[in-house]
Amino acid sequence: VTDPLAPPPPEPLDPAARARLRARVLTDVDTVPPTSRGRWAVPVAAAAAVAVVATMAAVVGLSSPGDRTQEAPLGGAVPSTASASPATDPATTPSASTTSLPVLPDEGGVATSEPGTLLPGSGASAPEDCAGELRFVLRGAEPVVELAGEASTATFVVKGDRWAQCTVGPEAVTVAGDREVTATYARDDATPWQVSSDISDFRRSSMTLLFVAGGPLPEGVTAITYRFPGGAVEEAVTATDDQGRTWWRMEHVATDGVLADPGRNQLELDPIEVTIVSGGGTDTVLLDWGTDTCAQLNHGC
Amino acid sequence: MSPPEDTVTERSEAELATALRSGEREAVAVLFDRHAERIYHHCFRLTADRSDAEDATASTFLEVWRHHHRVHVHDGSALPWLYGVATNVCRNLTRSRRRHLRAVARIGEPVAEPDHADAAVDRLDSEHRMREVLAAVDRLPQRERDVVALVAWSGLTYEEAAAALDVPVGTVRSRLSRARQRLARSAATGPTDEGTTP
Repeated sequence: VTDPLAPPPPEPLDPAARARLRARVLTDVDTVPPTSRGRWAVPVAAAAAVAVVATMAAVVGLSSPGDRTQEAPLGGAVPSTASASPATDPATTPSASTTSLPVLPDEGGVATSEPGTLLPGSGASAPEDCAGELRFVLRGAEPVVELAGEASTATFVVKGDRWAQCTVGPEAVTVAGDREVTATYARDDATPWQVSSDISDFRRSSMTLLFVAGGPLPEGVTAITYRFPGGAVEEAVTATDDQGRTWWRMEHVATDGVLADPGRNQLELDPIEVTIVSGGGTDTVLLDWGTDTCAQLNHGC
Repeated sequence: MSPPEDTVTERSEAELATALRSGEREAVAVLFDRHAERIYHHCFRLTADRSDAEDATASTFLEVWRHHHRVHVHDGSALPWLYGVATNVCRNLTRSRRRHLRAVARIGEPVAEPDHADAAVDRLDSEHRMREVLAAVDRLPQRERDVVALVAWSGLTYEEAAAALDVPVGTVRSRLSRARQRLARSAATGPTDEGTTP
């Protein structure tokens, strides 16, 4: 067994590679605007290099008022009550990384529930990036649970009877929600399922779109599935906080196809199809591009 | 890690941080010249792939520019903060590839391209060895892997790692301690079916 603390000795960065990287960095610096701290009025330009994250807000109760009782987790898996630790990774990059990601996504694929990170019910603070953004939404809200995806991490925060979702992605921090935990919606109401979308170009080679949705799991719901134009399907994952409230989250990363085509007019795409399975049956809600895909509260689309 | 040894004409890292915060592009170039090598090594240890490490290194300094207002100087050096940025960049880069790496590790020796150059052989060997190391720590929680990479692999002090990860020093100590315990238990029980080499 390899000694895990003994990586191979470092090899110098090839001078040619170093020169190439330096030129690349400086070219990017000349073309990429720095990120502003205050994003509230920042329209997210469609241009490359500006980052994006999509967050969506979802809320509660389909057929009956949502409450704080424990819900059946999606996919039948039992949400983890993993170790409690305030998420405080560096606020250095917009990368998701500002939050701790102690639990990696389930290897079983997108169609399974995966454990989240249970956060202390009181006295905890949101990740620094989120704290900055939440000053304008739910100031003083406390994180209750964290769910990590492939490219971003969502921290759900609660203040009184209201909740919000803060998503730290590769480039941007997105806040959505600011709704009542116990709010209820008509079965055909798209509000709880709306997504916000951002564009990321952090790898330079291609544009990446990130869609994130989430919220308190409506009572009785056992599965939430998103089908995107192009055929990609994502199933929501869940985690339960220390008060027994179950939260769901969906993340979709598009790196190719119609969604990641810079020349594509999103308004001409087919709607996103959301399928919600509950004890009362199966509902399908269509999300229209523009109106239902820009749910974030802290920056434009 | 001590602050870079500046000559009279070189600016301190605190001065560079100030310049960076004010939007001076040249500060990024200076930081790159000073620290790209170490950031590259860190990224290689996190990705086990030289090409990815190069991409991540470039992305790290681009992130530095994009978020220049957040630059931190710890004990006279911006390097811990850079390590934190790089850790985040590499985490995003590697997350989607983790399954592939596991699969490669299970398969065993990678098939080398026909190339008799010593450098190419060394490169493949180094990447393969690093994949084995990553596979060994793959079952650690991400936060513990980060600490192992920073402290055990890159040689940061606890204080520097704490600055890089923006966590208390005690958290770094406890995470490293837990990581060592997990790894010791794993070594005692032998390799498992996932995340280890055959």
